[in-house]
Amino acid sequence: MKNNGERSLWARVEPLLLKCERPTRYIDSEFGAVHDPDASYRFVLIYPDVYEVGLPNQGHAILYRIINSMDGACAERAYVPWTDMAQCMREENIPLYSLESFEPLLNSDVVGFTLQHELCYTNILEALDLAGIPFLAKDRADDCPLVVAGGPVVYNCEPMAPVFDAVMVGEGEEVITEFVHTHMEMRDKGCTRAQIVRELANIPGVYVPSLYDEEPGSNPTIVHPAVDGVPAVVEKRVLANFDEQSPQAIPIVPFGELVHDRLAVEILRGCSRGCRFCQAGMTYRPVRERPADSIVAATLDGLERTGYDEVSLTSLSSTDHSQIEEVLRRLDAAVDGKGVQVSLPSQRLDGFGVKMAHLAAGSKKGGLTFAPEAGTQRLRDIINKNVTEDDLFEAISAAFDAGWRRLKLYFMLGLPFETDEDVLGIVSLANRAYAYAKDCVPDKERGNVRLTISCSIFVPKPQTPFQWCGQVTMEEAQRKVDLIRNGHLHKGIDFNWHDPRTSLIEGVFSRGGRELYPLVQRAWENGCTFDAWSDKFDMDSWMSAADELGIDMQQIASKEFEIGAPLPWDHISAGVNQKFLALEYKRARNGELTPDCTFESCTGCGVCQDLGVDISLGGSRG
Amino acid sequence: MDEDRFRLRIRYQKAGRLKYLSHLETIRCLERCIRRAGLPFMVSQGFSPHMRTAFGWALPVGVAGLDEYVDVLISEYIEIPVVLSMFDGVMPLGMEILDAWYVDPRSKSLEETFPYSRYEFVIEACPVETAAGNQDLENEGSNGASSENGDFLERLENGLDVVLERGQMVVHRKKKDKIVVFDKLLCGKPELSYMQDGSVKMEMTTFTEGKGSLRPDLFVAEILREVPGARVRSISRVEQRSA
Repeated sequence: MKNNGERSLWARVEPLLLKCERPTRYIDSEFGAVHDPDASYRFVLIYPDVYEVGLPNQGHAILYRIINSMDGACAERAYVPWTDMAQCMREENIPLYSLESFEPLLNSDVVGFTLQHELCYTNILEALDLAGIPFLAKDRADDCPLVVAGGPVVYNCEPMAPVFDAVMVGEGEEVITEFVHTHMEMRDKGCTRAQIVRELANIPGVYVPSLYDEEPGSNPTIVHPAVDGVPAVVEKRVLANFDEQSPQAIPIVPFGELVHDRLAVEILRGCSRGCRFCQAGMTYRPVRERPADSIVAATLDGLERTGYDEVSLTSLSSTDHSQIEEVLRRLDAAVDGKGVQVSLPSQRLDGFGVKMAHLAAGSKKGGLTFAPEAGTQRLRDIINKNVTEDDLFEAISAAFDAGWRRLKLYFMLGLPFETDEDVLGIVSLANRAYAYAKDCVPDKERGNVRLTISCSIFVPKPQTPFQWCGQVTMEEAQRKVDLIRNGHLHKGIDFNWHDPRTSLIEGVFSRGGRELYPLVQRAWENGCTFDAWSDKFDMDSWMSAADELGIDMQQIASKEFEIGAPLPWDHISAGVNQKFLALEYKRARNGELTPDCTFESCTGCGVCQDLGVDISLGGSRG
Repeated sequence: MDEDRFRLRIRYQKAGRLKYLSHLETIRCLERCIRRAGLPFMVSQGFSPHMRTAFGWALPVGVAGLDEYVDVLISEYIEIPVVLSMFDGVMPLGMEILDAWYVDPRSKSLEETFPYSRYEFVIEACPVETAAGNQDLENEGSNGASSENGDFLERLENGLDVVLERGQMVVHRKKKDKIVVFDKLLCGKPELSYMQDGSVKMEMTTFTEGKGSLRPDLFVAEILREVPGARVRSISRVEQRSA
């Protein structure tokens, strides 16, 4: 029994609130938040960023509801306090607390981090430090909460492996209940921490880093099972009956404005378009659609129960849903006159994509974003981005006919096999798109046409066909950026690009192994937190951390692996087999395309067979 | 065009932890409550349709409101007891609907209707070290600090007199400071009285119109700069009225 009203820190936190920005980050009490003071088992879901970034996370919302529905267990939330609040809490010696009970994290049973991207690692240490929880799993006493993780980064979270008692790989809906049951039962029996984590490792999809030994002399570090009975490869969990489950979309309704301040309804999971750079496209397979009836019902119910005036139909590629048009038409009719906005998170790059965006947006048209990803057909074929210039021009024509005037094109720099011609191809494509867009609108409106080109630096991600490739150096990335800046882009086109320095940090932690944990800790000691915030990111502190430890970050990020050589993430699998990834890499080199198996026949990635799950569609695609 | 609409005036309170909501957060929160309640609200025309609501004078962050109002246009007449029951179970803790009634759709705005606000402050004694949490404030401008052992209420009374004597205060803002003259904004002298637990209650009424307003939180902070060893426990707007 760990809950106790007297342990609430509220009275000590309240005097700090008016000294900090946005006090509503810290007060709980939102509609939809659940506080169960009688639960004997408390699982704190912590998002390693500030409240307004963490609250909209759908994975969190799903786990929150599942854990709260379990007998004897409750879920609570925590976020990383912004720097002003963190300073106040340290001055007053107030430990990090979870919102619902205002009890210290240290009093809970589990602290579970969502790993959304690699730039959150220092924030995890920041949260643990504020909570008074030892950073390393091996330093934690039996009565200390378990520190666990899940989310998209688990496909290589080795740099943080020493921190986590356990990691849940893949979709969390089922594994979370098995985890909580097992943990609760063993805790009640008085088992030791070591006994508990050993037992947790028997649950499919649960990876316990401490049960894996480092291969001596390996660099980056390769690990192997240290004890009998733990899997050599931990396979991700996947929800077989996704389409039968109603979207668990009823979120907590915040007071302050969030980064995604709307109801989110997950309409499908997975994408098998097969873009070779895309980690999500490989790790969320197979594609499973929810039926139109279930989406419409969940959306209307969710709007009514939350009071949101906007809903986003989320997925990796929402316009690929075989019933998307029907869904949008039914929703438009149902919310007519209620001031409700329906939105799609991304647009397919063709006329159909624009038509769907138009159906969703109605009269309210902000900007439209398309992602050709590369500037030439050659490079688009290499990355298997199955779009042509014709598709782009068709989409532009449809968009400007429909009334849009602002367009953003998204590209990556530093893709494998990229040449300067491909980089300058971005300039050429952008200039032609701009001229074409102006031709699509009446003369008097031509001044309103806005085109933005946005470039990010490619990070080769684990479990993708490009996992063997090295990342371009910061200098090379900057040179490519400068090629575009000096490449006679029409002066009416805005150009912005992602900071190559943050991409390097992302690359280092995507590609390295356990040997990198000291770098995270040293960077945090040097003052790094909120690395994903451009105004907080501090490259000098990262560089000095690496220097102090004799680590060459550039070398780690740029390291190429031989196909077949052991990889730091080999013991984690998303179900797509390594042979398929290697074949895709070879096809990339040859510029050969691979079709989408939800439109054409099976491409042999191995997910359905290995994980025993099938593609499920609401109708026919394509 | 609004003659055939119904203008519903809802009286609510925003208290407890929700006193930390900003004005914008309060608006967003209440509009979501109205949607959850299922009231047949009207929606504006145009590019970005939104709920037709109107609010009164804003409260500063940290100030509770026990007599707050929102007007919402609805498309059909609903009996008041039914309106009130529609809000059951849809409010966050701390936000409560107190009453509702219909007003003439052409009547004055809430801001014009309620120019007067009455506030209650609870001020308590505290160790001098943590008084303002802001050392420089203690070192300066506290010439009257020698009477620290005097009667708490008397010391507050003196601090109030010092501030009123000046007739104005400087409000620090991001871009440039602003001078607020009490004159019309402060209605009568704030009253101080002891509460049972030894803390002091201060009551004051302010008048707000288009241009100027006197922020209660800044006004009391100005007084407490003159009174070391005192801090604000709470501020509430307890009443809004027309005269």
